[in-house]
Amino acid sequence: MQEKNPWPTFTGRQQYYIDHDWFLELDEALPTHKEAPVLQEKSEYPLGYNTPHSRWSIHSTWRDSSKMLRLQRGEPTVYLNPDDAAERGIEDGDTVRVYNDLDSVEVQAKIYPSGEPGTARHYFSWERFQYPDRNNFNSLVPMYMKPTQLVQYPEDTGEHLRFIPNYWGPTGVNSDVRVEVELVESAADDADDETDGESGSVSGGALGRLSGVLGGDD
Amino acid sequence: MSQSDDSTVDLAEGIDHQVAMVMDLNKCIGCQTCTIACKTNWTESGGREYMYWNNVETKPGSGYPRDWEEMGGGWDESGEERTPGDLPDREDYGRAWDFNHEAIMYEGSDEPLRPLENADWGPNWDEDEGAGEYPNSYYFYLPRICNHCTHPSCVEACPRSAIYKREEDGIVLVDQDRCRGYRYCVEGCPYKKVFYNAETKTSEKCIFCYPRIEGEGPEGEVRPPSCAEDCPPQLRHVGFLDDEDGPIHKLVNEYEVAVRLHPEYRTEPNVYYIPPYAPPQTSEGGETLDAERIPRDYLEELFGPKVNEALNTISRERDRVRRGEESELMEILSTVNNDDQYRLEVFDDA
Amino acid sequence: MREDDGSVPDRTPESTLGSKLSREHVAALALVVTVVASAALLPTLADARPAYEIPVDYQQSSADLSEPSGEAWDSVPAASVPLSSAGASVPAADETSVESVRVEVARTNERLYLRLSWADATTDTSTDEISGFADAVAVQLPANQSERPPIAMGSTSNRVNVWYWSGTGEHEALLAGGPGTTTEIDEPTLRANATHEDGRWTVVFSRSMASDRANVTDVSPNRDMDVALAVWNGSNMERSGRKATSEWYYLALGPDTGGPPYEAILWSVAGLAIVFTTLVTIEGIRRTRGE
Repeated sequence: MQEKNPWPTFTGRQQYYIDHDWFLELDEALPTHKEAPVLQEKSEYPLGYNTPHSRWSIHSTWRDSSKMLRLQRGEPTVYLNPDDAAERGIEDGDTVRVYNDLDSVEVQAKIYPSGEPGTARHYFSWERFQYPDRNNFNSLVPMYMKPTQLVQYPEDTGEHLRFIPNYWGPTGVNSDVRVEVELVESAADDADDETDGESGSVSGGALGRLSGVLGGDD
Repeated sequence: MSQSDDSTVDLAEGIDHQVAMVMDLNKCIGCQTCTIACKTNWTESGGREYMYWNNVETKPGSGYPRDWEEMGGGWDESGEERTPGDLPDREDYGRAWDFNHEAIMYEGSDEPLRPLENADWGPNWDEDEGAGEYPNSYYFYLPRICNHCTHPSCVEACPRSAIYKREEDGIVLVDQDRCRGYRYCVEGCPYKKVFYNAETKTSEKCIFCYPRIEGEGPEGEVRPPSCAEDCPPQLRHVGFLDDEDGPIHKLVNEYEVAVRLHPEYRTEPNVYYIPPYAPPQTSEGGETLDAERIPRDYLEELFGPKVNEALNTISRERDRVRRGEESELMEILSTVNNDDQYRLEVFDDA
Repeated sequence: MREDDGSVPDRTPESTLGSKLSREHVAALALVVTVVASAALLPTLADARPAYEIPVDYQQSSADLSEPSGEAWDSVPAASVPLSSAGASVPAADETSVESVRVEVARTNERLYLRLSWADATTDTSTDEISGFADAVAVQLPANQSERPPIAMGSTSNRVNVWYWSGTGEHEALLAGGPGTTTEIDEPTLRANATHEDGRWTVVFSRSMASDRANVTDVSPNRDMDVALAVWNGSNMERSGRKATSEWYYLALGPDTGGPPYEAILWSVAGLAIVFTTLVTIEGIRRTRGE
């Protein structure tokens, strides 16, 4: 009960068991662990990619505030472990391309000794207009339509489950995403004009574009 | 150094009381809210854009301005001769970049949002970098304001006596009418907390939000400096060093767990720090090791040898609480009562 | 000709007078011309006048005296004033770079003009950078003239006026009563103009001679005036007490000391007297010989 109203579930109580046909068929009537699909081969995309909440904004609010950007690098950054960066000939401040088979984003490399080797951390909620290609951190993250997210339960009212974007709907599965990072332009070379970079990016696939649209502002 | 009438606390000569601040570094999350609060109040325009009277820097790191700890200033070992200091360059502070918001938002530019000038250094450029190697890398945040020192080398440096310690509370201020922009105070401050304003051609600095502590702030109430009041984790105590019933006196003089940043500069700061703890080191396999993550000699380099006893005392008191015993020290450090943290109305004449 | 081995610089006297004068007359005249010419050149040499004296040239009209390259300055005698570090108690006070300043002073009935020129290869005209300082020059005068003030910015009981020009283009009138006490005062009649050419700054200060205001130097047209000078080289981070300064000099305004114009006149009169005497003597000898 909450404010004298029953929970908006099928039973009116906290309920984990969903006896909808599709849930039963997919063996998900109760919360179930399933192996993640392999999205990108580790051999091809050696770095685990994550997009944690940042300290410099509340989601995308104030993400482009000049005052806050002056306390950062003024543009989106990817945090790389020093060894990972060195292997790729990347130095702090260089412009790099973070990419996988979905898309490619161009950002500034920041060397982060506390980063776990084999990871690329790209703090989330940068605005699309902060990237040369108007894509963003989510462009590298696929979104799946799961059949169970299209279910209306109970079927007549949908009181328990129904499709609502960002609540019961497709979401980025960023913990499974892998990327590779490569040097675009070294910081020493672009001291004169940093805004004039050519991205050289591959065009975003359908999933990348979709994620860009839906996930632009988490 | 003289002592005020009814106090055993050393105050600067001719000073009735001394404002002081204790910052608990274990609570700082590096959110920069203090920095923005200060900037919004005092340094948004008029030649102050590059100034951060309050800044938060990652340690170990270059800080703000870049490599300020290598720039000299302060006093020699006798405490009587000033040590020569350098003037930082504008690039050492970083420039307050303007951005192309206008072009992107209103003029249809498809360029990315970027600083309009080359940005290759800033006040927080090396944020979160620290030192060491994964998984035993380490860093912590160090908020810094003017220390309103008891033995201020900036005051001594000024040939015109334009920078002075205020009699009633020891706040160090620059008389804007007397200042002629010689910048000897900028050179002379070893913490680099006096800033040259190229528009007014005078030097400026943290004023400990004196209008707020005088009751001229919001709602006409006595309030602590905004860097303290606006801090989300409320990591600062604000009061008077010579308020012997106050928490600052207890932390600094009784328990001696609040220590000065770079005491070897001998300016006798009145901003004190509770030194940082970090989880112990771990093995590659993730097992906890019996080794401190932040090297003790680095903390000594920052806070002097007193940091050792301070850390020991805090550990000892923490263990008491773990055993279910009382600890006044831990209560002071973990209070959530602002009345205990901010004691600014204890003296009639301050 | 005998005179050819001498140092007769100009034959004009001979050509105009030669037809009427004998060889003896010419020889005597050559000697006189030499003496007079030397006398006219002498004022440019420092040792031709008392130490610490800076001559003051009186001019009827202000003409273009306020311009650093004004032609009215062509006839004004110059003094070279040595400078050394002021020895003030600021860091690196001894590290100054300018060693002398050339000073020329003129006055009209209304205004006093000082043209100061010194070598400084770098043109430091901005204080917009944190480590940027501007070149500067200052003229120090006693606020009142009863007693010479202490050289370092005077004292509380014996103040000085300072005319200060900075490479930023600003100039101001200051009052000081000891080191670190300079305070801007309102002095609307003070002007300064500057140029930097061929590695030298040239700055002209001018101000009304007379003042009836307290603490503002009243420059009398017939009394000597103490003056000291200071120069700052901005790129050497010179400012405040880190400056190259002179000792006290004086502007030769008073009648007794006889500035270079008087000197030239006196020497000219003396020269004419010698000519006259020589001619009379020669004529006397010729008459004696019965020529």
